[in-house]
Amino acid sequence: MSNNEHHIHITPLKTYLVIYFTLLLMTLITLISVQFDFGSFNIVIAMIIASFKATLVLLFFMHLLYDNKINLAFLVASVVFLAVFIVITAVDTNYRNTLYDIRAKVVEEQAPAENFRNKKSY
Amino acid sequence: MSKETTPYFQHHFVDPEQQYESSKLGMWAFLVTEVLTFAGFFCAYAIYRMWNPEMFINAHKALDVTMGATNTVVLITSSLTMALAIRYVQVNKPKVALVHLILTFLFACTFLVIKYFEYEHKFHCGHLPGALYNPHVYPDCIPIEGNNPHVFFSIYFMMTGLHGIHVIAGMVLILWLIFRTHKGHFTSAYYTPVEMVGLFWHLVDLIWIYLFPLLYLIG
Amino acid sequence: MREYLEKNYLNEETTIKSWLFTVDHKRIGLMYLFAIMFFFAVGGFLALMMRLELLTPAGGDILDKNTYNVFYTLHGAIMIFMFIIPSVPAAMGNIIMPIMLGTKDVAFPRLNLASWYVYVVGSSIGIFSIISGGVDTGWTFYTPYSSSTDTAVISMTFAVLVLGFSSIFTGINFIVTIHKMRAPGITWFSMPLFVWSLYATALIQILATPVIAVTMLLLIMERTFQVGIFDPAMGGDPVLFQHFFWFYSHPAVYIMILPGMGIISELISTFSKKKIFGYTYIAASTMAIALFGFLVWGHHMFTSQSEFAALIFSIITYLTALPSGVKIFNWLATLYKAKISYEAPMLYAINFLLLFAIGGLTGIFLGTLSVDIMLHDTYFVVAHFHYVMMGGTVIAFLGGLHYWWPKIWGRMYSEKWARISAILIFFGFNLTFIPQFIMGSLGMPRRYWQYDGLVNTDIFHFYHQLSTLGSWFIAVSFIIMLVYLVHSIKYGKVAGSNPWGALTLEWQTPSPAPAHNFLEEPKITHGPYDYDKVEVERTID
Repeated sequence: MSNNEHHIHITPLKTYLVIYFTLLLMTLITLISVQFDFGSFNIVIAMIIASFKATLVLLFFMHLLYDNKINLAFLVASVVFLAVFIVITAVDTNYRNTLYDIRAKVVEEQAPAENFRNKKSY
Repeated sequence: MSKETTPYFQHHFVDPEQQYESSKLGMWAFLVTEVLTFAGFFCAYAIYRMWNPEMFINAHKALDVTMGATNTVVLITSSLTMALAIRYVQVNKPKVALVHLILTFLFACTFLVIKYFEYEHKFHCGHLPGALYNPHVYPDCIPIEGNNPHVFFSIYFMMTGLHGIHVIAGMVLILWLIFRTHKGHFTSAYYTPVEMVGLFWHLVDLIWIYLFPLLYLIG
Repeated sequence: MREYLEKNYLNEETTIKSWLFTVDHKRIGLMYLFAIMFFFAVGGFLALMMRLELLTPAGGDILDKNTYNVFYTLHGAIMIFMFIIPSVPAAMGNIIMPIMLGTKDVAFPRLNLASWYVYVVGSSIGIFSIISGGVDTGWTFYTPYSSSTDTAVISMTFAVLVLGFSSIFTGINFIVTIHKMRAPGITWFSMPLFVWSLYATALIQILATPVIAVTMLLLIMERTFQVGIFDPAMGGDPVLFQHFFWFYSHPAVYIMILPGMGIISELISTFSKKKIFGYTYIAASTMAIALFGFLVWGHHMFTSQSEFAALIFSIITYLTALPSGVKIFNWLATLYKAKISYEAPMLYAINFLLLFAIGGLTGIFLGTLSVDIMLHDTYFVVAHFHYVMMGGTVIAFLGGLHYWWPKIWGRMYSEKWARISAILIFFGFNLTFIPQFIMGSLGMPRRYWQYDGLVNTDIFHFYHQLSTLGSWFIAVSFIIMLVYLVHSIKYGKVAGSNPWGALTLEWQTPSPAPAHNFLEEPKITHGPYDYDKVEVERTID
C-alpha cells in the first residue's frame, strides 16, 4: 500500500455529514437574517456567516485542518492580499475631496444614451 | 514501499510522497491565483456598491433569491459528494467513489440549468451588462431606479459568468476523473488527481458562498 | 580539470522534436532565452528609432506622430511583458535554479514546457496586434483613451493576459520546487540567495499576476460591451483602472528587479571570494521588498487619486527604501577589503551597484508628493525607471548571462571583448539617461513626438542629442556582445566545471550539465558562500 497512508488523515463520514448540515443551516440563517433590516449591519452579518461557511469548507472538505500548514499559509496570504487590494483602493475612492475642498464635477451622473456606441477595432 | 507500486510515479521526484505533496502545494498555489482573480471583481463590486448603495439595493431585487438559494444548496451538496468521493477512494472503494463523482457531475449540471433560467429571465427583461442594458416594461420585470444600473448587471454577469466558466471547467475535470476512475486508475495508493480536482471544485463552491449573499441578499 | 562533457543536455538528443517536446528545465530555459533575446532586439530597435526621431526638435524626421505613439507603446509593452518579466526567472532561473538546489528538474516539468508555449502564444498575439496597426495608448493602457481609441487594443491586452498565465505557471513551478525539491542538506537558510530572490519573485507572480489578467479582461469587456467599470462615459471610473493596473504592475517591478538582485548577490560573493555579508538580512530584505511591493502601487497615481490615499502611499513608499538599502550596504560590506577579480560578470555587478543606486535615489524625489506633481510625466520619470529596469535588471541579467554562460554552453567567451562591451554599456547608458534626468527636471514631457516651440527647446535639443548619441553606444556594445557570445558557442575555450571557483552547487556538475543535472547524487559538504572554509580551484586561468 501507499507510504502516504500512515499520515494521511481520513475524515470520518460522520464529520462530513455534520459539516454539510451545518452549511445548510447557515444558508438558512442568512436567508432569514435579510428579512430584518439592520441597516449596514446586514452585509456584516452576511459576510460573517459566509466566512464561517467558507472556513468549514476549507478546514474539513479541503482538509486544511490536517494538512501541511504551508498550504494554509498560502490560502491566508491570498485572502490577506485580496483584503489589501480592496481596502487600499477604497481608501482612495471613499476619501476623494477630503483634504481640500476642491470638488471635481461629476462628469456623467447617468450615462447618456448616445454613449452606448459600438466599436469596431479589435 | 518501493517506487514501482504506482505507475504514475515521475522519476524526477525522490519518492511518491514528495510527488503527492508537491502536487498539493502546486494546487494550492494555483488556488491562490484563483482567489486573486476574483479579487478584481470583488474590488469592483465593493467600490461601486459604496458609490451607489441605493442603485445596488434596487437592482438586486431583479435577481431571483429562490433560484440563488437553490443553487447554493445544490453547490454545497455537490461539494459534499466530491469530498465523499475523495474519501471513498482513500479507503480504496473506487466503485463507490465513481458513484459520488457522477452525482457531483449531475449536481453541477443542475446548477447550470438553474443558472440558465436565471440568465434567460435577465435577457427577457433586458437587464444586461453595459451597452446591452435595455430594460423592458413587462409585468414580470421590475423597474430599477438609481444611477447606472447597467453597472450592477455588468458586475453580476461578469462575476457569475466567470464563476460559471469555472463550473464548466470543473465539470470537464470531473468527467475526466469519472473516466479514469472507471478505468480503475485510482486506488488508495494513488488518487492525487481526484484530490486536486476536489480542491478546485470546493473553491468553486467557496466563491459561490460569497457571491450568493453579495449579489442576491443586499440590504 | 578542464573538460567538456561530451554527452550533455545539449547534444543528448538533437532532433527538433526533442527540443519542442523537451521537459528538461535547461532546454526550456534556453528556449526562453532565445525568445526573450529576440523580443529584446525588437524592443531595442523601437527605442533606437524613437531616439533618432528625437534628435531634432521638429517632428516627422523619420516617424510620423501616430507611428511614434505606436512605437513607444510597443517598446514598453514588449520590453516589460515579453522581455524583462520572463528574463531572469523564466530564462536564467529555469536553467540554473534546479541545479543550485541539487534536484533533477523543476517540480512540474510539463507545466514548465506549457509555460513556454503559452508565452509563445501570447507573444504571437502581441505580434498580431502589431501587424494589425499596433497600439497607441502607452504600455499602461489607461482608460478612457484605451477604451475609445481605434487601434488594436483588444489583441494587445489579450496578449498581456495570456503572457500573465505563462508567468503564473513559472511562479507555481518555482514555489513548489523550492519548497519541496531541495536536495537533502539544503535548508532554507543554506540556499543560494539567487534562489531566495526567485522564491520571492514567484510569490509575487502568483499573488499579483491574476489581477492584471482580470484588469485586461475588464478592459476588453469595456471595449466590447461597455460595461461601465472603467469608462467615465458609461458611469465608470478611470482612476479605478489605474488602481487595478498598478496593483499588478507595481509588484511586477519587483518581479523584474528581485531576481536581478539575486544574481548580484551571487556575483559579488563569487568574485570577491568572500562569504556574503549578512546572508539572513539579504534573504529577509528580499521577502520584505516583495511584501512592500504590494502596498505602494498608488505612487504611480499621485496626480490622480485622493490626497489622503496619496499620503499613505507616499509614506509606505519611503519604507521600501529600507530593505533595498539593507541589500546595497550588505553588498558593499562584502566587497570591503576583499580581493576582487574584475572579470566581465563582476564588471556588470559593479555597473549594477552604481546604476541601481542612482535609480533608487532618484526614486526618492518621485516618492515625495509635492516634487512628484512637478516631475510627473516628464523625462525624469523615464530616466528613473530606465535606471532601475535597464541599469538594474538588464545589467544584472547580462551579468548572470556572462556568469552562467560557461555552465550553459561549456565554453568561455572572449574575456577581453566582454570587458570592452561591459564598459561601453556603462558609458553609453549614462550618456543616454543622465541627460534625460536633466531634461525632465527642466520640464521636458515624456512621450512627446516633437519638442519644437517649447520654452526650453534649445536646451532640450542639446540633451536629446547627447541622449541619442548614448543610445548608439548601447546599440554598438550589444552588437559586440552578440558577436562574441555567438562565436564562443562553437569556438570558445573549454571552460571546465568551475571556471570561477564558486561554491554553489551548479559548479559541481560538469559543463554543460548532463541531462539529469548531475552524474552522481550531489553531496552537500559546505554552504553556498563558505569561502572562508573551503577553497576551490578555478578551471580556467
